[in-house]
Amino acid sequence: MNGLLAVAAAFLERMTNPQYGPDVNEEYSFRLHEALAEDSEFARSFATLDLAPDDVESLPACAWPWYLQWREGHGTPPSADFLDALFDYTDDPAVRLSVVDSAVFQDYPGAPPAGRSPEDAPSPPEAGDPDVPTRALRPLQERRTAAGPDREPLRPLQSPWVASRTTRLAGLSDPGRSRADASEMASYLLQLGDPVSLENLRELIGRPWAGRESLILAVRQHIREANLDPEAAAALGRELGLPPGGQA
Amino acid sequence: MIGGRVSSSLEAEIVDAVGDFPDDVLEVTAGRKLAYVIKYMPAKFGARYHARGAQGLKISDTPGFTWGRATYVAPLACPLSSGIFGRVGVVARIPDHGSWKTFDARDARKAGLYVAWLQQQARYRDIMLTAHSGYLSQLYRDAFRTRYGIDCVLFRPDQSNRHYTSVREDVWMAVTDWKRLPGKIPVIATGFSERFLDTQLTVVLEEEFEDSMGGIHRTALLNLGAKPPTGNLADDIFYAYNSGGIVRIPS
Repeated sequence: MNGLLAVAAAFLERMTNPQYGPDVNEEYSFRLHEALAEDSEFARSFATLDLAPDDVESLPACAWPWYLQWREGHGTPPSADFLDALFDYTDDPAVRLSVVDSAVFQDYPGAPPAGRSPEDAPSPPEAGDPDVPTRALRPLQERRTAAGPDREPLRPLQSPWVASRTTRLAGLSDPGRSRADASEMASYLLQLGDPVSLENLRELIGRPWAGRESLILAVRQHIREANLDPEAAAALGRELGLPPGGQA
Repeated sequence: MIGGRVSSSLEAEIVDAVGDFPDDVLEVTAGRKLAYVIKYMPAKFGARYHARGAQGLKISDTPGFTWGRATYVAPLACPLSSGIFGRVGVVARIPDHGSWKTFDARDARKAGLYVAWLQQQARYRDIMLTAHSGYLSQLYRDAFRTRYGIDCVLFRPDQSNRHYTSVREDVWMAVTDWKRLPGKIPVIATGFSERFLDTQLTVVLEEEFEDSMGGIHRTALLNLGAKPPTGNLADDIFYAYNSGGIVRIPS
């Protein structure tokens, strides 16, 4: 048991559970952020809590998305084992989306690999920069081309956590569940929408594994249901490396 | 999360819709603009703002806020509009508002662009068809603002008391603080905002409010029948702010 979480559970529930109403939620949020601002040691330990799989029940489910999101901006995400356990603990899409976000965010390249040009690292958008959409959403193929034919390719961005989850999907004996789980994971990566999430999805689609066909069908279905215009749908399909012509 | 891909034409329309901060929302009298805002909060936090600049304004980061994680304020030109949220009004300067990339959701066409964007998201159905809409709405609004680098959203009040708030004319603002992490897409900051300077407790309301109709209406609990303040209240508050005074508003 994590002692800090045990003490914090009731506090964080009042801060994040909508049933208490926005006044109570905000009161507790004010108090927490005041403590975080004034006590750097507390802030550091809160941002680096060493979470184990059995800690998933230490906080109410509504508090985890807040905590994972907060931790993205203040420290490294929790361990892959913990994220795995939290993902499996609930079917709640808000929690699961937060878990995938946290795992993928961790793998966002903060710096180019050793010996490579800094230009190889995706450039973050600037707030208030009119180029934010173009820079943040520069298509994957364009970013690959930007690396240049004579240079080493960009380092693989495949998230170990995403890879591990999907490898497990391929091993499921129930093909129906495998398809559903592949579709769910694809939807989270598409929903997150950042270059690293899409790169992860592209690599899942590109590598040979037992769930590949299900994944491709799921991605096609998500793109169809989003009702994108044909140009955007085709461009996204190309970026993700979907086989042409609707074939798996 | 910055949200999934949308149609090319919609993407272009949204990019076009994010523009400069419209100065006219700061106008307190014809041609006179004050780059100041006011935020109302419960009395229990008010004392922290008694000394000028002692405490930043809190970034609201819990579910249920109209445009997600942001600092919610009203221009001083709407001096009582958000008084329904607390008895203490804290005034602050917004010196860099001229550079804020702004999404003006008062414009129905622009607000419609957000709805169209939402409808093309991969997990859109979760908002419409599950019990998780509050938290997910916050995530999507944060994603929209992050994707398009929106520093400020302007919108009409969505909670009101007709003696204090005009849902047709008042302006509320959701202002983003960005946290930059090396090599990563900026995330929306939490904690206390650095956008607002020289905060100071300047207004105290006698009235107290509570939610009714699930928070859509804010019911006044005292209702002692005092007449609304006469004259230009924004100017009175501005004068008090500059002279270290407090404006007291009767119920």
